[in-house]
Amino acid sequence: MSELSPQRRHELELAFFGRIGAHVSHEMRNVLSIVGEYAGLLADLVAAAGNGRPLDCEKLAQLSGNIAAQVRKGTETMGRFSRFAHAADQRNASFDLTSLVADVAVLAQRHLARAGCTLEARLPDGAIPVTGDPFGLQHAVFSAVELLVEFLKKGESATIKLDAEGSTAVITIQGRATVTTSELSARISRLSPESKQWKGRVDTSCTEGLLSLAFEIPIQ
Amino acid sequence: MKPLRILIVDDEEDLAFTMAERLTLRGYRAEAVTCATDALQRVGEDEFDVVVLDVKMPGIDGLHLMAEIKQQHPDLPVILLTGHGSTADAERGMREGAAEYLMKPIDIEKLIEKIENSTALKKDEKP
Amino acid sequence: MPREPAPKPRVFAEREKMSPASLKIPIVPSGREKEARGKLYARYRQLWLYSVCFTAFVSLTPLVIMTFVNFYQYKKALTEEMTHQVSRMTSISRRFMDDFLREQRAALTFVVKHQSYEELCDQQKLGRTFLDMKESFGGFVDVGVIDSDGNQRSYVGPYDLQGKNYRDQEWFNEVGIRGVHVSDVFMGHRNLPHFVIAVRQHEPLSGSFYILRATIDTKVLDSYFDSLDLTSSSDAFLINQEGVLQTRPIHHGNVLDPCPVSTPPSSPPTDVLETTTHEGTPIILGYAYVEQSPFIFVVLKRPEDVMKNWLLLQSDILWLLVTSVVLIVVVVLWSSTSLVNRIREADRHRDKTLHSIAYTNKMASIGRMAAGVAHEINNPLAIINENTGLMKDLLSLDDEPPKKERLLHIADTVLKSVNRCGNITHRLLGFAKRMDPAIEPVALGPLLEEVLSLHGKQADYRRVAVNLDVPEGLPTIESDLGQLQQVFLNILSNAFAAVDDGGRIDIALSREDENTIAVAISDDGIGISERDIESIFEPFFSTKGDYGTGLGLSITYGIVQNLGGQIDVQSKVAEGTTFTVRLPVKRRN
Repeated sequence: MSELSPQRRHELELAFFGRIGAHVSHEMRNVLSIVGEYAGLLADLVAAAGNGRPLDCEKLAQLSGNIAAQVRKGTETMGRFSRFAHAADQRNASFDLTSLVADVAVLAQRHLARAGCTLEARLPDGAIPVTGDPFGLQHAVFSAVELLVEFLKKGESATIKLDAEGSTAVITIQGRATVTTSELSARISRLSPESKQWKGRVDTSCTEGLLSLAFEIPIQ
Repeated sequence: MKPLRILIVDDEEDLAFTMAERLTLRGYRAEAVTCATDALQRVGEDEFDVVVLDVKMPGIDGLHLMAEIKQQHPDLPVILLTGHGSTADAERGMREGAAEYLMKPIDIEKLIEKIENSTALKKDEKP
Repeated sequence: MPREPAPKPRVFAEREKMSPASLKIPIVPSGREKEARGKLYARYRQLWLYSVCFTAFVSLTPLVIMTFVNFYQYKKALTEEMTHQVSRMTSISRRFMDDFLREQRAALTFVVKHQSYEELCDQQKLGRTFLDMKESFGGFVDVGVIDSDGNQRSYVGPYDLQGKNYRDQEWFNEVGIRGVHVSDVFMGHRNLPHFVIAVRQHEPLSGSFYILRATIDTKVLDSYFDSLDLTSSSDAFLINQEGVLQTRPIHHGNVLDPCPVSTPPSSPPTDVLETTTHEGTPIILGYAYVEQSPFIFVVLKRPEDVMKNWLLLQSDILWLLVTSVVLIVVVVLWSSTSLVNRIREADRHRDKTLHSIAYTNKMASIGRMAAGVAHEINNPLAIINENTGLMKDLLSLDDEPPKKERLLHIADTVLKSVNRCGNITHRLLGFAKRMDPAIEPVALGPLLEEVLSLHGKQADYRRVAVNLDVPEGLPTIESDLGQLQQVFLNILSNAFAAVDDGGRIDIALSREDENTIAVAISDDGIGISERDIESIFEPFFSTKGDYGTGLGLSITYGIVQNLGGQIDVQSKVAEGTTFTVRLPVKRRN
C-alpha cells in the first residue's frame, strides 16, 4: 500500500472530520425535528382541551416519553461526537479500542443503512488498551467501511469484528463483494491508514467473493 | 420525616426551576438559583441538606463555588452536574470533595438516587 | 374544530438523505499544485544562477586581473632588463672608447710637448720616438709631422708619404680649428682597418703650429668587441656618422660595409631605442656618440632571444590561468549546486514542518470547536428533558390535573430549546461543510457574526461587550471561507484572552479602497509591549507562557498572506490592541 503524502493525508482527515460533523448535524436535525413535531402536537392537544374536551393525560404522557427517548438518542450522538472531537485534539494517546470500534461501528451502521445494507458488529466485552492516534485510526477504519460499501451489493450484509489475539488486536471488516485485484489496489491507495501513527498494519484480501480488510494493532 | 432541603444552582433558568419543580412534585423542598452570589446568600441564610450545582457557570467557576460553600458548610454534600466537555472538571470536583456527579441531560431518577445516597451518608455521620 | 391526531408523527420536514456518493473522498485540484511547484523550481534555478555568477565573478575576476597584471609586469620587466643590458653595454663601451682615444691622444700630446719641433722633424729622432711609442702604447702603425702649410715634414711608417701636402684636406682644417682630429677607419697597411689621430702643437718660435699625426690599428678595438660576449641575436660595432661600419660586426657584415641600421640621432648622444633594421626586423638599438671622434658605438639586440623565453613563460601563465579557471568553475558549480540543494531541502523541510504544525493547529482548533458545540448543546437538551419530565410528573404525580397554561408554557419552553439546538447544529453543519478549501464569494459581515457566536457564551460569561460594525453595501470578497474563519477565530481568541472581564471588543469593517476591505478587531485589554510587537507574528513567539504554542499568529499571518491580504497590529500596553486585516475584494494571482 502506497503511503500518502502528509499534505494529502491532512486533507483527507479534514474532509473526514467534516463528513462526520455533517452526519452528526443531520442526525441531530432529525432528532430535533421529531421532538419539535411531538412538542407541537402536545401544544395542539393541550390547546384543544378546555373546549369541553378533557385532557388526554395518557396521550400527553406518551408524547412526553417519546420526546425523552429522542433526547436520549441525541445525547448519545453528541456524546459520541464529543469523544470523536476530543480524539482530533489528542493525536497520541492511550485509549480503549473497544469503545472506539463501537463508535465507528455505529457510524458505519448508519452509513451502510443509507446504502441499503446492514452491518453487524461483534465486539468483545472488555476494554482493549492501545496507544496511538485515535483519530487517525477512526479515519482509517471508516475509510475501509466506505471502501467496502462501494463494492457491496444492495441488501448485502457486512460485519465488523474486533478480536484480541495475544498481543495484537485485529479489526476486521468483511462483506460479500466481487472486485478484481486491480480495482481493489486502485481503491486501496485512497485509503489513508498511516500505519506509523498507530503502529499497526493493514491487510486486504478478496477470496471467494469475500472482501476482507483487517487492521492489526499492537496492544499496550 | 422532614423533607430534604435541596438547593439547585444552574445558570439556565429553565433548567434550574424545572428541576426544582420536579423534585418538589416528588416531595422534596427544592429551591433554584441561577447565579453563584445568590447561591452563597441562600446557603448562608438557610439550612440545606444537599446542593446540586452545575460545574460550568458564568461569573464564578462551579468548583470555586463548591469550595466556598464547603468553607461555610464543610459537611454539606455537593452534587455536580456536568456536560460532555467538562467531565475532567467533574472528576477534579470529586477529588476536591464533591459527593457525586451526574451528566446532563439528567435522568431524574438517577438524580434522586444520588441525592438520597449523599444525604444518607451525612445522616449516618451525625451523632 | 379539534383535529384527530394521527397515531404517528406527520411530517419530517427536514430529514436530509445522505447518499453514498456524497460521502466520497474529495480530490484536491492537482493543477494548482503543479503550478506552485513550477514557480518554486524557477526560484531555486534563479538562486543557483545568482550564486554561480556571483561566486564565479568574485573568484575569477581577481585571478584574471592578476594574471594580466603579472603578464604585463613580466613583459615590462623582461623588456626593461633587455634595454638595461643594452644601456649598460652602451655606456661601458662609450667609456672604453673615450678612455682609449684619450690615451692615444695623450700619448701623442706627450710626445709633441716633450720634443721640440726640430727634434720631431728629424727623421732619425722621430724614428726612435716612434719605437718608444710603439713599445709603450702599442697600436701605433706610423707617425709623422705636418707643418702649418700642410706639408709632411717627417714620417715614420710603412706608407710612402714624403712630400705630401694636406692643406686642402678636411682633417687638416679640423685640426687647425679643434686642435685634434680622429679619422674614420680606413683599410690601410696590410689591408687591415686603421684610423688616424692628429694633434696640433703651437710653435713658439714662428708663432704658428705643427701637427703630429699617427695611424693606429683597430686591434684593441677588435679585442674589446670580442670580449663583449654577445649572444647570437646581438651585435655591436662602431660606425661613423655616415653609417659606415668602422669595426667588423661580430655576426654579420664587414668593416666599411654600410650599417644595417640607420644612423641614430645625435641628440641625445647616448640612448636605447626600439627600432627596426633596414630589412624591417625589430631590434633594440643602443648607441653612444664617442666624443671628439667620428665614431658611434652601436649595439643591436634582437628581441627574439628574450622572446623565446617570454613565449614559454606566456604559455605557462596561460595554462595556469586556464587550469585555475576550470578548477574554480568546477568548484563553484559544485558548491553552488550543493548549497542550493541544501537550501531547497531545508525549505522543504521547513514547509513540511510548518504545514504539519499548521495542520495540527487547525485540527486542534476544529476539535475544540466541535467539542464546544457538543457542550453547548447539553443545556438545551437538558432543558427539553427536564421540561418533558416535568410535564409527565405534573400529569402523573399531582392530584389535580395541571393547568392548561402551565402545559402550554412547558411545550413552549421545549420548542424554544429545540430552536436553540437547531441553531447550534446549523452552525456545526456550516463548519463541517466548509472543510474543503475553495474560493467562493464570502460575505465578511455574516462570517464575523458566525465566528463571534462561537464566543457568545464566553462573552456573556465574562460580561465582555462585543460590537460588530458592518457598513451598508459592503461587497463580498473572493476568498476561502474556511481559512478566513480560522484567521478571525484566532484573532478573536487572542482578543478574548487579552481583555479583562467587563472589557470590550470592537470589530469594524470598512471599504478602504476599490479592492480592499479592512477588518479591524480592537480590544481594550492588556496590550502588547513595543518590544514584543516586533516579534508578534514570528513562529514560536508567545506571551502566554505554557498556554500558548506561539503558532497561532504566525500561521494567521501566513494564511492572510496566502489570501493576498495584509495583517498588522497596533497596541499600547494596558490600553488595548487593534489587529487590522486587509483583504482584496478580487483575488489577483
